[in-house]
Amino acid sequence: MPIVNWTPDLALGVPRLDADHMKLIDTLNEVFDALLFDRSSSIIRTALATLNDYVVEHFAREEAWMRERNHPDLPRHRQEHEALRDQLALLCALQDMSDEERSIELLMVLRDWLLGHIAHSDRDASAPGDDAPPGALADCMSKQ
Amino acid sequence: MRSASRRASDSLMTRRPDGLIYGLDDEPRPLLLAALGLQHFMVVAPNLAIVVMICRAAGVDATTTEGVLSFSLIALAVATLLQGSRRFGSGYFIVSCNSGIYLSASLAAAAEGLPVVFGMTVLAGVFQAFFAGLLVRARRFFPDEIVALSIIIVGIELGVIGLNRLSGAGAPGLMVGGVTFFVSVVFGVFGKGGWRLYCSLLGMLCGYLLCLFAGITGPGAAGDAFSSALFGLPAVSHLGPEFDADFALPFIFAAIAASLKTMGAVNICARINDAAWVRPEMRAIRRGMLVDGLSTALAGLFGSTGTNSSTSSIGVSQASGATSRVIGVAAAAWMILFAFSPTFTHLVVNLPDPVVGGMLVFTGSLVIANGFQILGTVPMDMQRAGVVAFPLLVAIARLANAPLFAQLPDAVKPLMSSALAIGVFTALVVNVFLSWGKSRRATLFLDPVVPVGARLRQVQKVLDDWNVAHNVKVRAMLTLRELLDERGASMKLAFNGCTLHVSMTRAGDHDDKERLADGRFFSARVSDAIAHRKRADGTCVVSLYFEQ
Repeated sequence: MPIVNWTPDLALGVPRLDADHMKLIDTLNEVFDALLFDRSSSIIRTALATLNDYVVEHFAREEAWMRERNHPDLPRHRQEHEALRDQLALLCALQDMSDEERSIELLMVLRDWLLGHIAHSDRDASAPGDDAPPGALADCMSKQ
Repeated sequence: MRSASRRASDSLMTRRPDGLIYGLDDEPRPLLLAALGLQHFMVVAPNLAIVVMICRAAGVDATTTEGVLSFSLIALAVATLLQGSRRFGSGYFIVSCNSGIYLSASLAAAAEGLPVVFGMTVLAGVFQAFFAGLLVRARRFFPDEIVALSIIIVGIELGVIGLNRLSGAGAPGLMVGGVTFFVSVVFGVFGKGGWRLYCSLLGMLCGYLLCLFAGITGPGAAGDAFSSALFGLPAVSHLGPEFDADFALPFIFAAIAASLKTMGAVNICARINDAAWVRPEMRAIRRGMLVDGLSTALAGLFGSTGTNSSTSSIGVSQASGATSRVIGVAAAAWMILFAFSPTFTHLVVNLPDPVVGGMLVFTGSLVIANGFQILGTVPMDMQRAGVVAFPLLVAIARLANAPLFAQLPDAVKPLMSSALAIGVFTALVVNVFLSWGKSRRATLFLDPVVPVGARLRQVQKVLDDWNVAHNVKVRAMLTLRELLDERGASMKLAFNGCTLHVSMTRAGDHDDKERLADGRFFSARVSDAIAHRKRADGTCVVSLYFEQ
C-alpha cells in the first residue's frame, strides 16, 4: 500500500537525482507495506542492503553534481549525507531489535530523509530556473 | 478546549489487485460492456422465480404476475444503478436481485393478498434504511469475524442451493451442473482476457446446450405466467400497498438479515478491488445498506418484492476479473429492456435447474474463499473462535433442516428461515456474551528517562495481550514512535474489539500544537482520527483512533 506517492511536484528537475528519489519513495512504501502485512522479516534486510548501496551511489552522484557547479552548500550537504549514512549503519548494527521495530525505525529515518534532506537541502540546491519555493516538496507531501 | 481534530480514514490508499482486468473505474468497450452486463443479468435473473412463487401464493392471474415481474426488474435496475454511485450508494459494482431472504415472510403475507406483501416490503425497506445508520454506529457489535462469518454462510447457502438444484434432474442433471461448474472454473482460473471475462456466461451456455441435447427443460414455474408478447408495457393494476402489523416482525427480521448480507457484499467488493484491504469501509457499507433498504422500499412501492445484493454476481465479478462499476449500468439497461419483454424474461427465468445449480456452486465457492480470506486477517483467540464456530454450526444445522428449528415459536421462524439470518443472529449474541465484562483499558506512565524503544515495547505488550489485529498494532506503534518525546507524561489505551483509542497526555506549552503538526507525517496517514485538546492546567491531550 503506497503511503507516499511520487508526483511531478516532487521533481528537482535533475532526471538522475529524481529517479533516485523515486527509488527511495518506493523503498519507503515497500517497508511500510511489509510492516502492515506482517512481512517485515522478509524485506527489512533487503531494504537495508538496498539503502546501503543507495547512499553510496546516490550521494556520490549528488555531490559530483554539486561539485561541477561549485555549489556553496556542498560542505553542508556532505555533512548531512554523512549523518544519514551513520543513521543507516547504526540501524544495521543494532542487534536487540525485532524486525518490526527495525522497520519502524527505518521508516522514521526515511521520513526525515524525505522531509528534511530532499525537501529542503536538495531542493535548495536544485538547478536554477526551478522557481518552486523551498519547502514546496514538504507541503506537497503533507497534503497527500 | 479542542484545538485540532481531523479524520484521516482515507489516508490508507488502495492497491489494484494483479488479477483485475477491468477495475472499479475502468470502462470496457461498448460491446464488451453489453456482454458483461448480460452475463450478470443472467446470473440474477433466475431469482425472479421467487417473485413468481409469491404471486402464485397470492393467487393472482398471469397478467398481474407479468406486471409484478416487470416492476421487479425496474426496481432492480434502479437499485443496481444507485449501488454503483459513489454519491448515493456503496460505490461498488453490486447487482441487486430478488432475495430469498424475504421469501418466507412474503409467502406468509401473500395469503392476505399481494398489496400486503408490497406494504410490508416497504416497511422492511424503511427499517433497513434506518438500521444502516444504527449498524455503523454500533460497529463494535459487528467485528470482522462476524462479517467473515456472514460471507462464509452466504457462500455455503449459495453452494447448497446450487447442489440441490443440479441434483433435481437425476444423473443427466448432475452432468450438466458439473459441466457448467467445470467450464466456469476452467475459464475463471485458467482463462485469459475475454475468455476469463465471460467464464460464467460460457459455463451457463455450455450447460444450456447440454440441456438441449439431454432434453432437460426449465422448471416451467414461470412459463405459464407470461404472455407471448415480445414487447409490452407492464400492467399497473396490482399497485397499492397495504400494511398488516401481524407480519411486521418477520419482515423486520428479514430486513436485518438483508442488511448483514449487504454488509458482507460490500466487504467482498472492497476486498476484491483492493489488494491492500485491511478493514471494512464503514462509509461504503452504510451507504450500501441504505441504498439496499431504499431499493426494497421502492420495490414495495412499485408493486414488487424485497431486493438485496447479489453475492452470486459478486462472485462472477471476481472470477471474471471485471469489477468496473459501469458494468452495473449495462446490467441495469438489460433489466429495463427485459422488463418490457415478457418473452425474453420467460427464457431467463426458465433456465434449467442444473445450469443454475452449477453456476451457484461456482459462485458460492468463490464467496466462501472470500470469507476465509477476511477471517485470515482476524487474530484468532478463544473468544473470536467462539463467535465464528458455534454460529457456523447453527447455520449449517439450518441448511441441513435440523428438526430443532421446527419446534421454535412462529414469530421467530422468519429469522430461522435463512441460515444467514440465524447464523449472524447467533454470532451477535455469542459476541456480546463473550465480550461481557472484558475490560481492555490500560494506563501507562511515561518516564522521560526511559528510551522511546522501551516505552513502545510496553505499549506493544499491552496490545499483544489484547490480541489487537496486526495492522492496528503497527499503525499505532508507528504513530507513537513519531509522537512520543520527552513531553509525554501518560498514555491511556482502550480497545473495544474494533477501535483502539490512544489518549496521550503531554506537558504542553504554547508551541506544542505546531511541534506535533510537524511530526505528523505517518500519524496523519495511518491513524483514523487525531484530536488535539489543550487543558486548563497547561497540559494537552492527543487522542488517536485506529479502526480494526
